[in-house]
Amino acid sequence: MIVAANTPVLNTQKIGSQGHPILLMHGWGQSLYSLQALGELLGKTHQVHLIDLPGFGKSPAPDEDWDTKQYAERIYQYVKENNLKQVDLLGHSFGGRVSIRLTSAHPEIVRSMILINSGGLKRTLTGKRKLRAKYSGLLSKTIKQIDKMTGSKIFENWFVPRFASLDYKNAGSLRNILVKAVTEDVTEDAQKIKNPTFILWGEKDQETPLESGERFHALISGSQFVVLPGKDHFPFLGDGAHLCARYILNFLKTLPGE
Amino acid sequence: MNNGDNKRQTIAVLFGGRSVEHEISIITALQMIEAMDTVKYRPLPVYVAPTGKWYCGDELLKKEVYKNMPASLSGLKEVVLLPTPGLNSLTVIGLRSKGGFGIFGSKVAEETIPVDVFFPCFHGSYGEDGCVQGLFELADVTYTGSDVVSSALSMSKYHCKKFLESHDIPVLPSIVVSKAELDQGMGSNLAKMRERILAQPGLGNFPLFVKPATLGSSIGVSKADDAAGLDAALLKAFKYDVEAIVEPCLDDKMEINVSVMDDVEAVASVVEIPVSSSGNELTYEDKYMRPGSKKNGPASSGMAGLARVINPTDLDPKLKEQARSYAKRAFELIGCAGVARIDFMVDLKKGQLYFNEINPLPGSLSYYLWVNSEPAVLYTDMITLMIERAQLRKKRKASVSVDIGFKALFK
Ligand SMILES: Nc1ncnc2c1ncn2[C@@H]1O[C@H](COP(=O)(O)OP(=O)(O)O)[C@@H](O)[C@H]1O
Repeated sequence: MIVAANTPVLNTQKIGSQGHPILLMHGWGQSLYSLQALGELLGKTHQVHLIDLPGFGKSPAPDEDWDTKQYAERIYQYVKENNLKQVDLLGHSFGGRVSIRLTSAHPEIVRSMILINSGGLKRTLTGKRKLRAKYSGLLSKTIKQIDKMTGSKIFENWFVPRFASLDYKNAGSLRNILVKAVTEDVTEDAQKIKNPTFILWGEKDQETPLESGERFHALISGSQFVVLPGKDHFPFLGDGAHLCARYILNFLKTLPGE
Repeated sequence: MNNGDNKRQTIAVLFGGRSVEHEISIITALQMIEAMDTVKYRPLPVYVAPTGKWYCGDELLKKEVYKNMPASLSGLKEVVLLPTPGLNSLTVIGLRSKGGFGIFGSKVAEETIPVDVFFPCFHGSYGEDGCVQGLFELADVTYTGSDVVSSALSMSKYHCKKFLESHDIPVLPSIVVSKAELDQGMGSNLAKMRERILAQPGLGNFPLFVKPATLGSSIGVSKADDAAGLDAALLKAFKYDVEAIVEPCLDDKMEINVSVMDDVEAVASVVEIPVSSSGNELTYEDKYMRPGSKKNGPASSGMAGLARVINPTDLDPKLKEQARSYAKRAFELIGCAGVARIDFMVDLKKGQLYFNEINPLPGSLSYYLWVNSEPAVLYTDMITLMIERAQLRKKRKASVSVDIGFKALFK
């Protein structure tokens, strides 16, 4: 089989065979592993497809520097390759940007869209944020040094899930894609969306603040919005997966075909 | 926003405590808070230090705090639950006046933290055995899980077995012996105790199994192959408890656990077979120290991280059903509420199932069993159900009128 240059192989993991298909897309610097616990819970009643986005996890990086529209096209192809008529899309952070692009470009293949602490809305760096960006860069250096000296994995296990999306330095070959993504704004695409949309937001988010969630809620007509107090940019980590699954399933239950 | 902070009910989550299972309780509580429906509820962590003092503060939600115990306690508020009905709150103590000499210098207004529901996440002594439940009753607050009697009965292994035996639930023959008998004349009394044990019907042959009467988590248990071994096993058990239980040791055995929750009627989860690394009894290390089963998972995830086979397909369905139905009956007979885990042993030589023990506040609240049940129950929903059931029980209890008067005194 000849794989076109712009069609890198996607590593995916399927959980569950009954129910409507739902695609789970992770955030920047993550892999499908970050959404696995949530996927397992949703997989009890739905056909879950966990996806390693190109350049992350076990999916090879694209040949060129993609923007999120190209990422969305790759996922569109995946839906077609798998003969899925209509899917629910769930995107966290960077995966949220891709979901919005995809839903706006191909609304007919999307039954519903679920955003968790999604990226996509540009904002100016306030003083505090600038400081944090600087701090996280410094911290990453220090931690890497400790890891090297002691053989620990603090960077991978602690730092990456919390700070990675801020860390431009660590984007490696994907750095240009990251720059594209964070300078993009999906406002126009979000406004076009008519598909049922559910927005779930960890309240104490430093990366994609609650204010972004409120703006998405205002931009996407008919969208539902639930704020999870006490949760951060990763509300589904650990046993928080159960809480996220509760609200996601509540939403999915209201859709036609359930 | 669809949800606002002001409507949330405050759930005091109590954990730690004066128990050998202190640490496991911390894990249970932190997991539980992570899964709690924070849209509906506001969790208030209340940590009971090994000293028995109570502390609260959001810092307690971070695992790192427990690395620097007891130093980190200084940054927290010390609180108590007063036994006075109607307060429905925790009272902050240790408030000192700053001014010293002002008019109000000597007295500081009491600070209270209102609580809607108390949610104990303790394991073992003082927290799972009816003690803290007694305080909840005195204070007349709403609390989740089993009440005083059902907690106490569950945690006293001997009483619990005898009680269930009287309701035709199969248990191994057993005897309870007390450390007090050894207080004088240690050597000769130990020999007498041994004789008394061996004379008990069903306990005449070795190997025997000895365990502390009220502890959990396999602490202080051992197998006795002969008279000397029995002496050693008894002394070991008495290190941890003032009473010990002796029963026949099942060499060729399998363990089956089932969780039961109270709903309109009791419901049972799927069964699990916990897997021991040594092929023998489950040790404390097996239960809590082995790395989590999830790859890259946290180093310890309590009972949820234990290696286990959930709903094994090769297990006789009849045995599964038997365990589930005995578990429900035991839960109801004892009068448990909330969630419990009932542990059985199967004598593989005879194919006979025995009730072994019931944990009225099981590690990780047994959520790993419910999420694998049919239909799957999310941990979040379990917690909500436990809170709602507690509120229902409280209401029901409040509707029973209590007439307290002074008429008899003055007749
Ligand atoms: N009669 C027995 N024969 C053989 N093994 C036993 C017997 N009773 C208990 N055990 C083993 O010892 C472990 C701990 O005993 P258990 O009664 O469950 O106490 P705990 O409350 O400490 O877990 C059990 O998991 C089981 O493996």
